[in-house]
Amino acid sequence: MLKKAAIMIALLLGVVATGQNAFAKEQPNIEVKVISPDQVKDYPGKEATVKAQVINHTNQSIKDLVVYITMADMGKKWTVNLEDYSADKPEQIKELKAGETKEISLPIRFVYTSNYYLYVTATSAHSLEIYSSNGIPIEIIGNTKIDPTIIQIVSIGTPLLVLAFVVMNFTKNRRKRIA
Amino acid sequence: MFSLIKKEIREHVLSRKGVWIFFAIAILFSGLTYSFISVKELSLLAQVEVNMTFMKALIGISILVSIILGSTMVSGEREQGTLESLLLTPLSKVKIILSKVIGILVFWLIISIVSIPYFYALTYGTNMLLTILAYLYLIGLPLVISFSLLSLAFSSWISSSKNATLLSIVLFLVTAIPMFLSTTMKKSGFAHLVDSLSPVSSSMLTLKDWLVNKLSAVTIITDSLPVLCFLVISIICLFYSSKKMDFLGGE
Repeated sequence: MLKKAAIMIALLLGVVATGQNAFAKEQPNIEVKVISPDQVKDYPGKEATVKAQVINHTNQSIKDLVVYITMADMGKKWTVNLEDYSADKPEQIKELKAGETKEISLPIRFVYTSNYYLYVTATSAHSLEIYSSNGIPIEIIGNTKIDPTIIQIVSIGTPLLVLAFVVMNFTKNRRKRIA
Repeated sequence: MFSLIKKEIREHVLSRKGVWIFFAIAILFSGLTYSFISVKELSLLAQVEVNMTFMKALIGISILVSIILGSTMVSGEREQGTLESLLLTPLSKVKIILSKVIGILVFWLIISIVSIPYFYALTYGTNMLLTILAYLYLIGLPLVISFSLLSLAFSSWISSSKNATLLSIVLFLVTAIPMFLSTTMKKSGFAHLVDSLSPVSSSMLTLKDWLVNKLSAVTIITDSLPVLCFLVISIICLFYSSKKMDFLGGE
């Protein structure tokens, strides 16, 4: 009987311990929130400033935080080279005191047509933990009116025209030499 | 002077070398233009970005061709022993240099004319063509001419055309360094200094502010100031170097 009771108590304690772990995951040490924009639907070339809040939920100050934009291309199922979007420079927070909230602005210029999830990530130089915000949907609509047929005509026609000029020039020079 | 200009055009623009260069440039433009519809990454670019990329390529090629041409014009004459006969004509040194500048200008004008059908195709369906052409002739032309004038100045100063070409290319590469660097690298150190002073960088900034950001005329003029300053410096350099243009061995 006592043995059974001990097992039950151990199981209950286990549940409680697991529950605490789950709670710890819900309340991370650092929280990152994207304040604005909540979504972007525009044409390529659109410039935006992503404003995000970084909150320290611990009772200790956190030093040397690096906060940066991350994007996933959901259309092509690729990651994004942020240098193309002029968004490869992170913001640095030298110190985030206990319970402190800091707001940062990260500029970005959307270049390629696709659907993306944009989120802001924060990490400290003194810890391996990475904290990311929720994603915001980005839709960059294609606005190109380039006609592939015209491109093909020009790409083939122009060198041919120049070649005709080259041949004409040679013929003219040869005639001159013969004369 | 008119006959000297005709000689320059005949030797450089209508020569076998000249017309093959135009053909090679047309092939290059065709390849680049076709890649905008065939390469997936490039086909996703906005039309304005496509035109900016093409403009950068056009200006880069134009500068490279014109500096190679300019750097061999005077030193080449000196090496071939034809400079003496030129200097013995009643034309002043400035007029001789000016006819060579016009030769380069005609060469570049033909390159720009070759590029127009490509710009037409790339700006199709938009009203960008006029802006693109305005940029090409208002900003692109002074930039190309500046580099040509400097390469001509080097060609007059240095007796070897190889050295003059090398020096001109090095100057172009130094001013074009920021184009090959990331945005982060351009924000500090030597790269930042070159980026803020380089006429190539400022011409690219002007292009972006004109086409993409659609900023005011005042901002665009401010952006293009380094290009105009570079043009003035190049003219001064060429003016002084034209005085140094002399017979081989200074006799």
